[in-house]
Amino acid sequence: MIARKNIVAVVVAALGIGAIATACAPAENADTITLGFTLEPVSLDISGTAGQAIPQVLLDNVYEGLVRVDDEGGIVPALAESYDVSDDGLTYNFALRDAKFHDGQPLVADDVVWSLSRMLDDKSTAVLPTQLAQFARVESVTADGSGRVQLTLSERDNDLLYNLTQRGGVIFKKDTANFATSANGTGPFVLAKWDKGSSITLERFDGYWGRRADTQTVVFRYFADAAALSNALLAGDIDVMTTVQSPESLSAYETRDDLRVQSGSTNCEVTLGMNNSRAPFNDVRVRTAVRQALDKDALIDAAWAGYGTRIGSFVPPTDPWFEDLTDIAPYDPATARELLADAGVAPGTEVTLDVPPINYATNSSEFIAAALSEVGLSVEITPVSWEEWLDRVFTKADYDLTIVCHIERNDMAIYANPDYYFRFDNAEYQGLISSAASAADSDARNENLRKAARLLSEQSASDWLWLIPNLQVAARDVTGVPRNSVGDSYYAARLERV
Amino acid sequence: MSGVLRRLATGVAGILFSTIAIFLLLRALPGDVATARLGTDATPEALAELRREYGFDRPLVVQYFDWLADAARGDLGRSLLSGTSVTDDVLNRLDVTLPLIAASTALSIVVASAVGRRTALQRRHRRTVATMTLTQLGLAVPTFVVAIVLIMLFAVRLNVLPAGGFPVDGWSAIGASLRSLVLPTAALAASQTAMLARFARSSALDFASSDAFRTARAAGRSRHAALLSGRRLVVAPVLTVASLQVATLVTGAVVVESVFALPGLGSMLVRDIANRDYPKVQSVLLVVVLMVFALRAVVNFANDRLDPRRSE
Repeated sequence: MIARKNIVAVVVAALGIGAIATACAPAENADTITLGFTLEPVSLDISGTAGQAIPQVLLDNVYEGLVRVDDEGGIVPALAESYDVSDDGLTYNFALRDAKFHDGQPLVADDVVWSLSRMLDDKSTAVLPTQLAQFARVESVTADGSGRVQLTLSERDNDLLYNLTQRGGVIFKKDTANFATSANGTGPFVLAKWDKGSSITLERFDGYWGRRADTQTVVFRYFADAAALSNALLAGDIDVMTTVQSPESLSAYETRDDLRVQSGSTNCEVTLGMNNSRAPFNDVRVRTAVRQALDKDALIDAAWAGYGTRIGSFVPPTDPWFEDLTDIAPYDPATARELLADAGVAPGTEVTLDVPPINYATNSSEFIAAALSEVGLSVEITPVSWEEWLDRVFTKADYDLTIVCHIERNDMAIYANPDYYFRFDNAEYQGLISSAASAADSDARNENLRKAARLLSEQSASDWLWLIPNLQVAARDVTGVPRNSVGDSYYAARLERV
Repeated sequence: MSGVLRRLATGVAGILFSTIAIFLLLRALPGDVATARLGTDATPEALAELRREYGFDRPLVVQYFDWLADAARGDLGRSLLSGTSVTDDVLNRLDVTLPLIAASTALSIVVASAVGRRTALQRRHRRTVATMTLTQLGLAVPTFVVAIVLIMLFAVRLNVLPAGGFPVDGWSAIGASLRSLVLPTAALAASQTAMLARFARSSALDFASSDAFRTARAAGRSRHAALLSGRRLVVAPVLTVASLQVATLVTGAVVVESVFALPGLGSMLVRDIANRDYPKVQSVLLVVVLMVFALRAVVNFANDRLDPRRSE
C-alpha cells in the first residue's frame, strides 16, 4: 500500500502548491493595460536594426520625430511645433517645441541636427539602408541658433515629411551611444523595463510636452505562438490581442460578452497579379474579363470570413488620393464571357495560378479557379514555395496569374516599372507617377496619383481582391485602441480602462 | 579510479566534439546576422562592412579557437543584435527553464517509480491495464496538445491558473512565479512520466523474478515489502533513462515555453537561431551541453551508490 500512499502524497503536494499559488494571485491592476503581440524586438536600436517590432513599441510612444502620422494616415506636428516649406520644395524649416528627454535634459536644435545627420552618411552601418535611401535627397541639416532647424534638399521630395514620421526621423539626445539596450526619448512613455523573451513595460512620462498618456502603465507582451496569444486573451491575461492571424477564428471571440472585435485599415492590398506581357493577359479585354468574373463580396466571405474591404484599384482608403473605384469592372459574368469571346479566347483555354504558401492566397485560390472556369478559363492551381515565387514569379515573371499582398505604403510606383513582375508597360501611367513625384505641392501630387489609380483600374493592370483589415480583439472596458495600421508604430498613449 | 578518469576523458572529448559540431553546423545555415540586422534590402557593401566589424571575415579556425578560449575563461561573449552579455541572458532565462526542467524531472521520476512498482505487483488487475493504457496514451499525445488542453481547462474554463507568461519581477513574486510554472511543469512531465513508468514497471518486474525477491518472500515478507527491499535496483535504471532524457527535456521545453509564452532558454534559442546570432547561439548551446554532461556525471555517481555492483 506504500505505492498508493506515494501517489496520494504527490497529488496532495501538487494540490497544496496549487492552492498556495492561487492564494497569492495578484489582483488586477486598474492602471495597467496589457497588449499582446506576436513579434518581439531583437534589440531596441530603432534606427539600426531591421524588423517591425522595434518601431511598433518605441516609435511615437518612447521616441518621437519632428512630425508623426496619425491613425487616419495624416501627418501632424510632433516635436516640431510648426514647419514651412519653400516654394521650390528644397528647404524645410522646423520650429521646435519646448520638450524634455526622459533623462530630464531639454530638447535643443543640436539634438535634431545630430540625429538627422546620422541619416546622411551613406557609408554608415549604424543606420538601416532603407533609412539612408529615404534621406538620400537631403543635403544638410542645420540649426540657426534660435530653436529652428533647416533641412536642405538636392531635389524636391514629396515623401520627406512622411519619411520624417518613420524610424529614420526619430530625434535622439545628441551623442547617444547605446541604442540597443536603452532608450532616452521625448515621447509620452518612458521605457521602464524590457523583460527579454516576455514583455516591454512602458510608464507614463510626467514631463511630456503634450497631452500626457491616459494610462500609467502599458505592457507590450510577446507571444511567439499565436495560440498562446489567443489563450492569454481568453483567460483575461491580456487586454488587447493586436493581431488576428486567421479571421475564421474570430467566432471564438464574438460569442464573448467581455470582448469586442475591432476592424481597421492596413496598406495590404491582396493583388491578383496578371502577366501583362503574356497571352492571353496581354489583352486588356481578357484582364477586365477576369475582374468581372469575380464576385468580390462572396470571395471576401469565403476567404477572409467577410472581414476584408473591397478596393477598386491599388490604393487603400487611408491614402489622401483614394477614390472609390469599385464600379470599374464590376462583377458581371455575362460581360466577362463576351469580352473573352471578343478577344478570341476559346472556352477552356488553360492558364495557371501560382499560389504562395500564405493563408489569404490559399484561401482564395479555389474560389478564383471556380469563378474563372464559369466564364471559360480553365485554371490550374500550382502551389509554390516563397523561394520559388521570388525566383520564378517575382524576378523572372514566368507566370500567368498569382496572388500576393503588397504592403508597402505609397507603392503605386511599382506599376510604373515595366520590369516589375506585373509587366505593366503604360507610358501614360509612367508619366503620371513621375509628375506626382516632382509635383509642386501635395494637392498636385494627390491629383496625379488619383488619375493614375483610375487609369490602373481602367487598364485592369491587375485585380485587387480586398484590403486586408487590421483585426484586433480587445476587452470591452479598454478604449483608445488604435484602429488602423498605416504607420510603423502602435500608439498607446490614448489607451484607457473605463 | 581509472573508471573515473575514463569517464572524465570521455566527457571532455564529448564536449569538444560538441563544440566543433555546434560551430560548424551554425555556419552551414544559410543567411547571417548581418542580414537579420540590416534587413533584406541591405546593399552587399553594407553587409560586407558589418560582417567585417563582427569579425566574420577571419578564418573559421581563428574564430573557433577565439570562442573556445574566451569560453574557457568564462566569457561567453555578447549578442550581436541586442549587445547584452550572453552570461546575463543565460542566467536570466535559466530562472525559468531550470525550475521547469528540474520540477518536471522530479515529478516524473517520483510518479513513474510509484506507478511502476504498483503495476508490477498487480499484473492482470484492471487498474494496471488502465494505467498502462494511459501511459501509452501519454507517449502518443504530443506535448503541445497536452499543454493546450491544460490551458483550455485550467486557464480559460476554470480560470484558476494563468494561460502563460512569467512575472516581470521574476522569483521575487514567488506566488505568481509558482503559479505560472504549474501547468508548464505538468505538460512537460506528462510524456516523460509515461515513458519512465514503463521503464520502472519492467525494471520492477525484473526484480520480482529475481532470486533476491524470492528470498525476501521466502523470509516471510509481503510482496510489497519484498519489492521495496529492491527499490534501489528498481530506481537505478529509471534514473539512467531520465538522465539520458534531459537533453530531450530541453527540446521539449522549447515547445512548452512557446505554448506558455515563458521567457526560457528554449524560446530564446529558437529566436536567436532564426536571427543567426551565432556567437550567442553557440555559447548558449555550449552551456546546455555542459549542463547535460554534468547531470549525467551526477546520475552516474548516484547510480554507483544505489547499485554498488556497478563500480566493482
